[in-house]
Amino acid sequence: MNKLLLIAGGSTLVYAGLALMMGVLPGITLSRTKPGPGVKPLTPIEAEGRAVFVANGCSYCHTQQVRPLAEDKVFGRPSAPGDFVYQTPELLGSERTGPDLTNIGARQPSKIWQYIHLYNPRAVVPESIMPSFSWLFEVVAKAPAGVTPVPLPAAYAPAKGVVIPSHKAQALLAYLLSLKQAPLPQAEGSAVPTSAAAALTAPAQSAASSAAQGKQLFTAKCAVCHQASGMGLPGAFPPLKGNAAVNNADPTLHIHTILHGAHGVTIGGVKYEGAMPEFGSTLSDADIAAIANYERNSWGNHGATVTAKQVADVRANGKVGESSAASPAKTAAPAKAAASDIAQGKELFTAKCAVCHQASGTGVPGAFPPLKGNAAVNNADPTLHIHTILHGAHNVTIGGVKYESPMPEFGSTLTDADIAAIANYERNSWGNHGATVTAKQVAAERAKGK
Amino acid sequence: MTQAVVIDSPSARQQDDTGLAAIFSAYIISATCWLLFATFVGIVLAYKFGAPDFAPGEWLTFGRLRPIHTNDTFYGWASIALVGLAYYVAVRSCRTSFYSKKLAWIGLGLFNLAAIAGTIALDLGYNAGDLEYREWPWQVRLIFLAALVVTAWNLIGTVAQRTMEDIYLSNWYTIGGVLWTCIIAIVAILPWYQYGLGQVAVSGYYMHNAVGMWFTPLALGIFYYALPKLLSRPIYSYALGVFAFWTNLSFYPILGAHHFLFSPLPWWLQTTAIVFSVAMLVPVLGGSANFLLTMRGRFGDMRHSYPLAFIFVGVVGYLVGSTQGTVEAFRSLQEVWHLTNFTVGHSHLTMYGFVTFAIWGGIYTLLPAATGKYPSRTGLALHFWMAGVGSFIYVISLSIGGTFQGLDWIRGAPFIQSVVDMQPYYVWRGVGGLLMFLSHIVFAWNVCRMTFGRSANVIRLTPAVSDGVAE
Amino acid sequence: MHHHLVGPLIGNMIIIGVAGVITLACFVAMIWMLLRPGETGRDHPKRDILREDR
Repeated sequence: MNKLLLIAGGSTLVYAGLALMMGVLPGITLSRTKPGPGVKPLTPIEAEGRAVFVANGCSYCHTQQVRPLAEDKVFGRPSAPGDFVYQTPELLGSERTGPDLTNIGARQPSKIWQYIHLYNPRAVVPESIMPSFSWLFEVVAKAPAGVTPVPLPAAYAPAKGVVIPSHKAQALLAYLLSLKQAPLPQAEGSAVPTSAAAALTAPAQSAASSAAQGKQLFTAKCAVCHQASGMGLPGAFPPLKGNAAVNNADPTLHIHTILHGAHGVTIGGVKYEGAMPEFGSTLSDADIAAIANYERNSWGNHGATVTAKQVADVRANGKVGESSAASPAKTAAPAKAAASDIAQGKELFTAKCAVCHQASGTGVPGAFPPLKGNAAVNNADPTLHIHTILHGAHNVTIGGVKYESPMPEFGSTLTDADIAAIANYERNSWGNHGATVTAKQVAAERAKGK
Repeated sequence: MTQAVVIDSPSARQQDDTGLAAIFSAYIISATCWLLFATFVGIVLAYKFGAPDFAPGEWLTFGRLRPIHTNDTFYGWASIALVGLAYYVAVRSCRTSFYSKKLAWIGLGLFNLAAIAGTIALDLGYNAGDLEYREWPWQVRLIFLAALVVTAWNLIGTVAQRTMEDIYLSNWYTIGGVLWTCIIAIVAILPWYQYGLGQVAVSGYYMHNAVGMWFTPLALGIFYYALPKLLSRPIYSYALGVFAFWTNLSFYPILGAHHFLFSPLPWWLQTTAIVFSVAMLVPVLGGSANFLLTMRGRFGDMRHSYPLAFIFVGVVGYLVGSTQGTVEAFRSLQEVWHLTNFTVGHSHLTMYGFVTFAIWGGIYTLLPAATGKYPSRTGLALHFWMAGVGSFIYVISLSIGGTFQGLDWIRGAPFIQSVVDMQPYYVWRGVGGLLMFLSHIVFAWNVCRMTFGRSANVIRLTPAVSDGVAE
Repeated sequence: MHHHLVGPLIGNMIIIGVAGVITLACFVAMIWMLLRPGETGRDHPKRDILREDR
C-alpha cells in the first residue's frame, strides 16, 4: 500500500505543484492585465456576433494574434498585452488557413464586401476555400423597407428573390467590423508611409513601379473587390476595365481615389453604395503609382503612365472637399508654460508611449524595447533619445535584441516642450537617471532634421 | 489462459475471466465506434478543403465538424480504448480481479455519455470558446471528469489488492496518467484565472498537458506490458522505465511556456521552458531506446507478428513525434511552421503514429488473450498497411505543404497564394486520410472477430508465443 | 534570433546553469542505465510479469 501511495499520491502531488506553477499562476497574473489605451469592451451586438463567430468555429482557421515578425506586418501592428483584456474566451487561434482577423475591421471595412464574402466567399475571392455561411442569410421576395439586399453576383444569387442578412449575420458583421487595433498614437496623415512593397517582397527590389510589383500589390489589396479580371462585381464593386478614371490621361481622380478611398460614387451610370477604403496611410507613393500603372495597362486599359511624383503631388493637395484644417501639430499641443513638468510628461507618456513601452517601462519582450535601463534614455547626451521621439525608428537593435516593428514619429504632433516632458519622465522613472532635457535641446535637434 | 473459453465450470476464476473479457471488449468496441465516427468526420473535413461548397449548411459546416473530429478522436476513441487496456493490464499484471466491475461499467457509460453530449452540443453550436481540445461545454467536461475519477478509483483499488509486493511499471504510468488528467480537467474548467491573456496561458498549459500527460503515459504503460508479453522477454531496463516516469513527470509540464514564445510571459518562464525542452529528450530517447533494445535481435519477428509491427510503429512514432516537438519549440523554426499545416501533420504523427498505433498494438496483443478469439492474418495485414501508408502520406504531405505555406508568408506573397499553394497537399492529405479511414473499417471487422467471432480451437499457451492471428 | 530572451543575463545564466546540470545528470543516468541494465535477479518484477498471469 505504501508503494501505491508513493507512486499515485507522490506523482500527483508533484504534478499538482507543476500545474499550479505553469498553468494557474500565469493565468492569475495575466488575467489582471490592464486594457491598452483605446481598447474598449464590445457592444451588445458585437458580443452577440462574437458568439456566432465562436459557435461556428471561425477561429480554427483565422488567428487573432499579430506576432512581432516581419511576415505578420500585413495584419497590423504586433499585438500588445492590453489588446486581449475584453477577449474571453480568447480567440488567438492556432492555425492560419485563412488570414488573421485582428485588424479586419480596418483592413476590409466594406459592409457589402463582408456580406457577399460571408454568403459565399468565392463570389469575391475565387480561390477561397472558406465555407459559405449562406444560412446566416434569408431569401425574401422583396427586401423590407430600410433593409438593403446583399448585391450578390448573378452566379451566386438565388434564382428568385433577394438575399438579406439575418440578425445573426448582422451581429457577426458588427463584430468583424469592430476588430480594429487600437491605433498606436501616431501622427495623423503626416509621414508618407514607407513602401509596403518593401515589406511585401524580397528586400532587394529597386524598380518599385515595376509591373510585377503592381500586380502583386493589386492582388493583395484590390482584387478581393475589383477582382483579378478587373471586372468588379456588378452592383457592388465597380469595374476597372474600361473605367473612365483609369483610362483618363489626367490621372488625378484615379490617384485621389486610391489615396483617399471613395463612397457613394456613380460610375458608368451605376451607383455604388459600398465604401472603398483609403490606402494613402499604408502605401507609399511608389506603391500607389505601381498599382495605378498596373490597372492602367491591364484588361485592355491604356491610361497614361503615372509617376510617384504625381502621386506625391495629389497627396500634398490633400483630400478634395475637406477644408484644410489646422495641422494637428498646432491644435494638439496647447502652449503650456510648464510643459516639461513630470506630471505632464507622465500623462503624455501614458497616452502616447505606454501602449508599446508599457506603464512599467519594460516594453514587451521581442516586440517593443524596454525604456527601463535603456542606454539612450540614461545617456547624459540626450541627442539619440530626442531624435527617436521626434522621428521614430525601426529595425533598431537595443541591448542585443533586434526590434522589427517600427516606432512612429511624434515630431509632427508634439511640441518641443511636450517631447522634453516625455523624455524627462522617461529619464526619471523606473530607476532611470538620465540628465534633464530642455525644450531648447529638442528644438535644436528638430532643426537638424532626420 | 484461453481455457477460460471452455464453458461450464462456473468457478469464481471463470467468472472473473469472462467479466474481464466482457468489460475489456465493451471498452474496445465503444472506442472503435468513436474511431469510425470521428475519422469519417475527418474525411468529410479533408474533402471540404478541396470542395468548400460540399455538404454546406449549419450542421455540417467546417467550424462545427472540426472540434467534433478532434474531441471524439481524443475523448471517444483514444481515451476509452486506453482506459480499457489499462484495466486489463492492471487486473492481469497484479494477478487479481477487478476492484469493482460495476465502476468499470459506470465509467464506460460516463465516457460515452460525455462524448455523445459533447458531439451534439458542438454540432448545435454550443462551443465553449474554440479553445483547443476543451470545446465541450463545461457541464459535459464535468461528466468526463467524473469518468476519470471513477477510473482512477477503480484502477487504484485493483492495484491495491494485488497479490505481489511490487507494482508493475505499466500501472505507474496508467494510474499516474488518469490522476494527473483529473487535475488537468479541473484546471481547465475553473474560470477565475481565465480572462483574456490569462486564458491564453491556461490554453497553452491545457493543450500541451492534455496530450502529453494523458495519452502519452497511458500509451507508454501499454508498451511496457504488451511488448514483454509479445516477445516473452523482459523490458531491457526496468530502472530506466522508472527513471523515464519521474523525468517525464517533472519536465513535461514545465515546457508549456514554449507555446508562448511570442507573448509577454515572464522571461524566466520562457528560458526555463526552452532549456527543459532539451531535458525532455531524456525520457523520450531513454524510453524509445528501452523499447527498441527490448526488441533487439527480434525485429525480424515483425514478419510473422502484426501486433509487434503495430507496437514498433508506435515506438518510432513516439520517438520521431516527440523529438519533432522539441525541435518545433525553437523560435527560428517556429517562425516558419507556427500556424501552418505543419502543426496538423505533427499532431497526427503523435496522436496517430504514436498513440493510435500503440493502442492497436495493445488491442491485438491483449484482446485475443482475454477473449480467446483472433482476427485473421489478412485483416491484420490490410489494417496495418493501409493505416501505415495512409498516415505516412498524410504526415509527409502536410509537413511539406505547411513548410511552403510558411515560406509564402515569409516572402510576403499575397495571403491567398498560400491557400492556392496548399491545394495539391490538401489532395494528398485526403488520399492518406482515406486510406487511414478504410483501415479503420478493417480494424472494426477485426474487433468483431476478436469479440463476437468464434473462439480459436487451437489452445494457446500464452500470447508470448502467439503471432496474434487465427490459424 | 532570441528576441524573447530578455531579462537579466545573470538570471538567464543561473537558470541555464541549474537546468543544464540537471539535464546533463539525467543524460548521464540514462546512458548509464542503457549501458548497464543490471537487474539480473530471477524474480525481478520485470521477469515476474512474464509468468502466467492467471
